Amino acid sequence: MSTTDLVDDPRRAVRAARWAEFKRFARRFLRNPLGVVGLVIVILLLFVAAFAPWLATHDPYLPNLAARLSAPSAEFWLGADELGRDIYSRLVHGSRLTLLIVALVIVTSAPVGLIVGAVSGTVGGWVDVVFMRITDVFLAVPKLLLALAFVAALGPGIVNAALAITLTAWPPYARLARAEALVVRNSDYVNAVRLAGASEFRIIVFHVIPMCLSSVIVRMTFDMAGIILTAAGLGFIGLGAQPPLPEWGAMISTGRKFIFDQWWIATVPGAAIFIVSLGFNLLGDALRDLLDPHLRQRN
Amino acid sequence: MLEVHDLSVDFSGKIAVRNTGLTVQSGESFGLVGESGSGKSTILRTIMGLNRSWSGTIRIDGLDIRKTPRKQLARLVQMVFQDPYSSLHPRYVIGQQVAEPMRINGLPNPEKRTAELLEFVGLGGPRFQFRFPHELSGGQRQRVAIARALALSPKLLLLDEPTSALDVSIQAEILNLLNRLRKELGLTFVIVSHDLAVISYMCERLMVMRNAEPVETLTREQLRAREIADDYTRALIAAA
Repeated sequence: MSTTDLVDDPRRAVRAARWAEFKRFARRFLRNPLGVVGLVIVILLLFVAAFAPWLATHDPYLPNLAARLSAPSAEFWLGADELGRDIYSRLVHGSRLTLLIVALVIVTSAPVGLIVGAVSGTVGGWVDVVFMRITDVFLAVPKLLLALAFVAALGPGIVNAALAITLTAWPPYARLARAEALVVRNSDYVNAVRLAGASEFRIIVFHVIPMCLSSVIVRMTFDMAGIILTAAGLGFIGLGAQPPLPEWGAMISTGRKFIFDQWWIATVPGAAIFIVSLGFNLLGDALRDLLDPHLRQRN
Repeated sequence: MLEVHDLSVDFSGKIAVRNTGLTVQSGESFGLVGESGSGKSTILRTIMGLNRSWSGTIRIDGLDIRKTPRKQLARLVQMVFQDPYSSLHPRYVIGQQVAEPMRINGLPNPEKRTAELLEFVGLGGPRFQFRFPHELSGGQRQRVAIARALALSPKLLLLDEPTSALDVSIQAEILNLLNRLRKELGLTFVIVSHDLAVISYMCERLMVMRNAEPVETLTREQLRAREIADDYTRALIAAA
């Protein structure tokens, strides 16, 4: 990019600076092999979910009673379940449900927690007291119990399960964002914009929240594993996705009856949950090493 | 330009500044000297409205700061912080940070003026404004902080130990830059420092503080001629 471009198009220059910053970040990330493994697993999951209809070999809902409980073979790569449905195809389609729940929960809980925490920490005073006591109330109730009660009240289903998990997932974000905001609100760079006459709204949105983002992102990647497990748990006890949806938790639940003779029916979705959770955790670990303000020296 | 009368500041019981008054004329450079903890930085932060519990009166250009809206004050007085490593937002390129005060106050042409301001503090060249703070040295960052403080064209600039976080070789550069800015823009300075050499180089008058109270006010000539009334000031000079 030539010098005249920079002057003519400052927006592009800022973008170029951010891009250079991102490339530096990516280079440091690639130095962590475990993190790369995690990233590959997560990308694989996204890929499978995106192309599920093309990757699946069978209709995930079509029963084939002749093939009931058949073992892994050339026809049924990972075997077939108690209705003769191909487990591989159900697994592939199930990845969409898993991602859907994770995305729903993250999209609803992280911003809510981030905003509550950032406002609470920046404004302080009675706003802080009120917001944090509400957060404490939600934190005091056991996670799975609150989710169970909520689903029981609203009725089972994927969206309700996601809502129930959200209800219990946002308070840690609020705590985290508040802790960061408390540090940032008295920092000189925030004071400098305050002295320039910036409103509290502008300070929170443009100056405090960007500083909270990195720890929230780290927490988010760790949370994704937990969300997958909770969603599978709700599916397992029949309060999450309903049959015939190929949700991984529900698949384990039906396979449980055959675990001694047809082990693959429960094992395969279990292994899928394990691998995906591990992937998110490895990714989260690597991101924390790079982003955690407490592990990083000041720059 | 700046009048402070009978100012007292306490931080939940601990008195940081007690019954202090000072007057700074327009165009003057006024120094505050003292050991750490003597309340000199607290005075600056209180003038800027960063402390909430204080008593007394502070007037800037005749305006009572309690009764004047923040945005109006922002056009009159700005501050440069001590540590350039913590006074710039780590997530924004410096051009955005210098432009931010102008955007907040809705001034026209922030981009163009940002380039001019950076040029003015010796960070010319189109590439500088697209750097992140961590790509700059301490001296460069302090120049950015100064450019940001000048963005709203204030008349009064408060400098909280502007050079104490910098290398000795860079300190002189920044001090000379500040002197040039004062001359060219007709600014009024209030400089806080524990370094008497800096104060006597930069300031026409100075006030010595100790334990939250003023000890005495001297002119530069009195300081250089050692016409000093108070023993504490004498000890401070002997130690410098």
